[in-house]
Amino acid sequence: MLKIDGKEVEIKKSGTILEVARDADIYIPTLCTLKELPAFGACRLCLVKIEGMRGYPPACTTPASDGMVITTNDEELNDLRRKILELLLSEHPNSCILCEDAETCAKYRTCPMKVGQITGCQLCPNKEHCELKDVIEYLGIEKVDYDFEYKDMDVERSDPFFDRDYNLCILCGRCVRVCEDIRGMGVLAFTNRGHETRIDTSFGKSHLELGCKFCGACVDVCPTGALSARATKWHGEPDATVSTVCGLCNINCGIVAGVKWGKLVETTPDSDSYTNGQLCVLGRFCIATITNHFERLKYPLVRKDDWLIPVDWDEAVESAVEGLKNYQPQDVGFILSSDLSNEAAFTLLELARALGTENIAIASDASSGFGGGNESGVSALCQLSGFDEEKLMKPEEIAGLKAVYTTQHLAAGGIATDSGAAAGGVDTDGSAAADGIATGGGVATSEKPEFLIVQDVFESGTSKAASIVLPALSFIETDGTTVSFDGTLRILRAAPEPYARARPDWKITNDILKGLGKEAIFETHEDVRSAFENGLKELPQPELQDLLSEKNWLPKMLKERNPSFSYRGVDLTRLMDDLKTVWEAV
Amino acid sequence: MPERTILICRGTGCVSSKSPEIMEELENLLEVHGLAEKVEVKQTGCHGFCQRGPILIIEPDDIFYCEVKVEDVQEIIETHLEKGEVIDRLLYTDPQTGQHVPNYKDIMFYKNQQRVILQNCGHIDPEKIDDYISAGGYVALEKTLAMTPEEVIDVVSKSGLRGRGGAGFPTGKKWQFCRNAEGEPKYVICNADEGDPGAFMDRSILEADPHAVLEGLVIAGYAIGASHGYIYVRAEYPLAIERFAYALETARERGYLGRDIMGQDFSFDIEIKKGAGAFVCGEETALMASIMGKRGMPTPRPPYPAMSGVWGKPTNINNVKTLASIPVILSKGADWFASIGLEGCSGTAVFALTGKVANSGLVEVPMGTPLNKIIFDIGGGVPDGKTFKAAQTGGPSGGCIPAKDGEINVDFESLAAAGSIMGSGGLIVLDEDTCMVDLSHYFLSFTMEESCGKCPPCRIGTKRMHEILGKIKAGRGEPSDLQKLEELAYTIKNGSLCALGGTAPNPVLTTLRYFREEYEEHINNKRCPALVCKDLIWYTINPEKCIGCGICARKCPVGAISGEKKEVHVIDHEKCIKCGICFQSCPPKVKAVEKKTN
Amino acid sequence: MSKFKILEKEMVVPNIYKFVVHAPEIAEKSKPGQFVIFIPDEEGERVPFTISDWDRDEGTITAFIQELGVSTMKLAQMKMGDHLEGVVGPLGIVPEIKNYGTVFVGGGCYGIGAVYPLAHALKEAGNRVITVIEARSNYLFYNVENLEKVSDALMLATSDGSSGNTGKVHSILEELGEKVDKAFFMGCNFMLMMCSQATREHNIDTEVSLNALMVDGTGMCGCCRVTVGGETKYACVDGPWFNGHEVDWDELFKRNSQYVMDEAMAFHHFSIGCRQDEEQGRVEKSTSKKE
Repeated sequence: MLKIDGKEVEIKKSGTILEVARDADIYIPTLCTLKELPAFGACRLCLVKIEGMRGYPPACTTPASDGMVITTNDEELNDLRRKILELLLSEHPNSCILCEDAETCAKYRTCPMKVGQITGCQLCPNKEHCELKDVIEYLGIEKVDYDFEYKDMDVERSDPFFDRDYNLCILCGRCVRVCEDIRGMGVLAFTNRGHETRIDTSFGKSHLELGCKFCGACVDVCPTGALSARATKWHGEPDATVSTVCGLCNINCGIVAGVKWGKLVETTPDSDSYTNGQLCVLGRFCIATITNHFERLKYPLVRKDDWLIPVDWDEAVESAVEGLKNYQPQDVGFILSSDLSNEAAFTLLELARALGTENIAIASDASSGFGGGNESGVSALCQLSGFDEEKLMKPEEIAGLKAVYTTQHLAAGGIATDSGAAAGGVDTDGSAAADGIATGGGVATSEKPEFLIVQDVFESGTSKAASIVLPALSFIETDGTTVSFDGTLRILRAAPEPYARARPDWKITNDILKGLGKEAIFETHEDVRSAFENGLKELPQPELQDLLSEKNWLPKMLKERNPSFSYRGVDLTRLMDDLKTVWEAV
Repeated sequence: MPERTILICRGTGCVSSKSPEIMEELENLLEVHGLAEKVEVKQTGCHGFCQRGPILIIEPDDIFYCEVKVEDVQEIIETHLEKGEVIDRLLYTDPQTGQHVPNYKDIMFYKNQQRVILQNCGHIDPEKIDDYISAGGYVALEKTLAMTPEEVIDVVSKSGLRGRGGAGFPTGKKWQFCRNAEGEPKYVICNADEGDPGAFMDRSILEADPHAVLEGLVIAGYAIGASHGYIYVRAEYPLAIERFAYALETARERGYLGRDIMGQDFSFDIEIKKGAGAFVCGEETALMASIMGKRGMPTPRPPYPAMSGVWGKPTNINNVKTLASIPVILSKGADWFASIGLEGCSGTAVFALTGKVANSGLVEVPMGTPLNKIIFDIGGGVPDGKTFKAAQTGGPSGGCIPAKDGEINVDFESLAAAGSIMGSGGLIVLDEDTCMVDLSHYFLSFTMEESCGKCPPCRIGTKRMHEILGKIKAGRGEPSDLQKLEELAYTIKNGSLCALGGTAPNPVLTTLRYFREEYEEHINNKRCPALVCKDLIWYTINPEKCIGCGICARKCPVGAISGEKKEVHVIDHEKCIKCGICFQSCPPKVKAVEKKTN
Repeated sequence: MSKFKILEKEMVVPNIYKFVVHAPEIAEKSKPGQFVIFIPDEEGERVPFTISDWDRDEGTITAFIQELGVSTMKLAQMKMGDHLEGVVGPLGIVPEIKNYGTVFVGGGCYGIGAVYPLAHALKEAGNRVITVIEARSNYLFYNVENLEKVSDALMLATSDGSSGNTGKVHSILEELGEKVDKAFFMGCNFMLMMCSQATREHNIDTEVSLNALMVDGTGMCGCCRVTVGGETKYACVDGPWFNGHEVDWDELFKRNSQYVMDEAMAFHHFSIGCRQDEEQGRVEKSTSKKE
């Protein structure tokens, strides 16, 4: 038991004064602490008074002990804190706090000003959410007594994905510590000394040269606008956020999807998730970009007179139904992308059953060395449907059939397991040649299937060779479930509005089933979830990867186990130069 | 057995004024003169009187030659060694009496000191362990090993020894904390990261008497229960590092270090860690971070090093001078040590006496010696007929003591009460030509550059203070600036993480306390009374004194001085950049160039 | 020397770049208060900038460009010696230059550079020119020496009080205590609005250079439509100078923010290199039709 500001507080578990105070809902301002990191004691804003102790010990590093009598909030302390903050503000653009027109201006200036160098207020990506400002508001600062000194450092914009404007840096050291202590990288460091102390990369090299994996952890912990995600910093605060999981690989890290204007504008790590609030470059910087990418498939297309013509959904579904009816069951094959949700895979398997075919293959799509977004789930479902490993066909075998229904691009990570493309096929660059889908796997077919349904997210060589193109929504736009590599069922939640006229995979397949005169499998995804959950329990637990045994394992890109960064068979590095740069450097 | 011994100083100061060449010449010429058998030449560490180096002492005659040159060697051999005549011109001349002082012990600089820690400095060859042993070295260690660790700590506690790094924490208590702390292994560290501008006490001791420090560290290790020691020494001290490394080697050979020291069941070894010259690494936690290969940034206490220090283990850190006191305490006894100095503040204080003082060098006096005694009786006062204005103790972390308080006793408490600190031993004497605003500006620029940059009060606060002082110096000060300075000082003192920041405002605070009117002169009347601040002074040529020699005009880098030969010269103030070269180059007998302020 | 070569390019203060471009025909005809349209590259959009100076002998024009989005970012990345795809101008109706008596010229952001020819011309016409420029902080001022030359009085206003008066142009205007006969303002729309409000209270004739979204700059597209005094006007051909007291500010702000999402998404994709490369374009063409 100790006393904080006259309030009796129980020490529930041993910790610092700050921790104990936070447990008791007593706010003490800080800028450098982060609950995942050991205390640093740099910002000097959590200074408190303790009876019987000299000076002003920091709450973040002083252990709480029974009988302490602590003052955290009185004029003397707040005055000292204000003076310290004023010093910080004498080097951090501060017109956002001092400008007398700030409020009116914010009301009228709704357009983001996408400036290169941040000089304050409306030009700051953190204008809506700034930890520094929070503390200022708590302490109440109306003027800064010192001459302002702008550091005038060049903004670092040459590295992929994020900008570093150290003119805003307050040297809390969070980025350095998260990089070193949590991500184990040590790309960032304090450099120089004295007043010229800066945060910079080790030896002033670029992030790329230093082997940065661009996980973005540094960006996420920055309390100011100094570090910011280049693409998304000007979107402003999202209108809504949705907690879901990343579907780009089978780790399925927890993400928080930010939605604005109905669009997905950013994904940040979900600190309450099992992945400890950490992500890799794909989850942190790529999801919003690929979701809004102009190479998305926008509307259903049906080939007429050799041209792929946009049609409405009814016509597309009808064409698919009619087309499939033309083939004998043994001539029809299905390629399941391992990025499909359980629901999507389930309905596809049902469709195959309805058509009486057993020609099923899973196209593995490894983005991080952990397989496609739902590799565990898709293979578990196949197993539950009686398609064990022996019975499953290979994608290239399916590709040789007359009628093929594929849910992903059939090149990199798909059929063509070798990087080289065979003549007359779909090559890894996504450019399709005249005849057929070919593979580098040696089982190349010189002939394209007569009838090719492509139900996919991105434009690709495969979609361009299709008879029918059915635009699907990505994992972040549909509700559903996925099974992570550790065998846990995780829930996917739709965040943004559907892209153009694309639809969820399961719904498309369902409609085709209905067109075939079968009953719809389910109308909502909840229907399948319960059935699936039970089935999952009966399956043997998958062998966990060795790194799950590590206590605080992190999402990492493991290039050695990673053929490409792909989603639904499409090489993501093709979609954005920055990712390509990272991929080539890693 | 040689008849005479020539001690030649090979401390850093004397080395840079060519003592190695003198030694070589001596050895060569002794050979030529056939005296090699009769006269032994011995190198020693620093004698402390660096201003007069190179220093050469001839024993048993006790003749002290100073400012010796290679060319003098022949005469020393022929006149002194062969004829037995003292060479007057090489003797020390008392600046007050003008008399030559042949005997070492009669020189006022030495006469008024009491050398305990420095007892061997200048008398033994630091590279010869036998010299140290014959001077009573390693007796203390032998004694120690016969005692229990608790008994050793008890002796240290009773001696009243307090940390000589500046904080003055009782050493015995510190050892006890670390001994009691849980965790294995434990570490002891010698802090030799001497960083104050103008301070060289630790360096001189390491160069002159490395074994004393080594022995102290081994004793500390035994008392605390450590098996590993570090000495953290600046890389800028190559000679100290070399001598200490050699001392380690020889001590290991003789069994004073390493496995089963002196045949007892105690093993201990020492590793040298070189610092890269960051002032802040003198701070315990930053020093430990540096030893662990991290950036030298202080960490908040608790946890104290005694609980969780290097590699997270209990660690004890002592200054060089503290450790050098240990062998003496153990060999001569706690009571003997406690009898020196003051009660509660026993032993001696070692200072690097520099600045505007006739005899600058290393001095050792009992704790509590009056400041004036150090400056006048040892230092010989302020030269060139100038007046003593103030003394700065504790370097950039300390403060100044004005001349009127010159009778102040130099000990931890008295200095703290005066707003300064004891520090690790820098003592800078200031005369009437020192501008106190300029002085604070200088010290602030030092702390501003040497701050580790971790916490804003120190990193930014010192910069803001420095800016305000710069403004005042430039004549742009406003009356409110003094209050701003005081406010900033308060913020930095109370808000900073470590002692670097906590003490950084001291120079400003003390000068404001004792010389406020000087600040006010700068601000209100745009005057620099000491004629230092460039923007507030100008140079003129006194037409009555100018002889028209033209030296100043020739030396002026911007061609601001004009005048015909043998005619009065004039300075063009538009062109003048106030570099002061004319002032310095005007012949002393003429002194026509004058500095003026409002 | 070829056309539209960038002869000079430097960042004068954070985010504001001074461009000197070779465009003799435009330099020949430029008048104070007019603007040009820059087209950075083949695929670039058309962006309007005020002509901030010109040299008829050298055949050059000067513009201060603030980096604010994809196109200005492209411009900011161009180097001295590069060529702009196109420069259109001079465009816009100029304010009347005559002796008004005492004129107040206010500038902010790009306007600090852009007001120079206007202040210059007004000074030459015999006016007493009071120039006031505003910025968040003192390190954001530029072009001050030039303005000093053409102003009878030059005042600075900073939001953080780091130099000159604490506040904005409009706050200086309110505290001026000197009779002003005419006022001109260039800067962001917010500043123009605030200044117009201030001059309305003091009954000072006010002209502002509006920043409306603009595409072609010739009156065809209607993008820069503004309502002034209840009438529909096009900033490109009827302006950019309008009576500040008659502008429908709310409409202007609303219209200016209608492409926020597209601007943000364009920046998003551009900034991390989502470009339809040539290879892709080729694929598109060859596979749309099966051969």
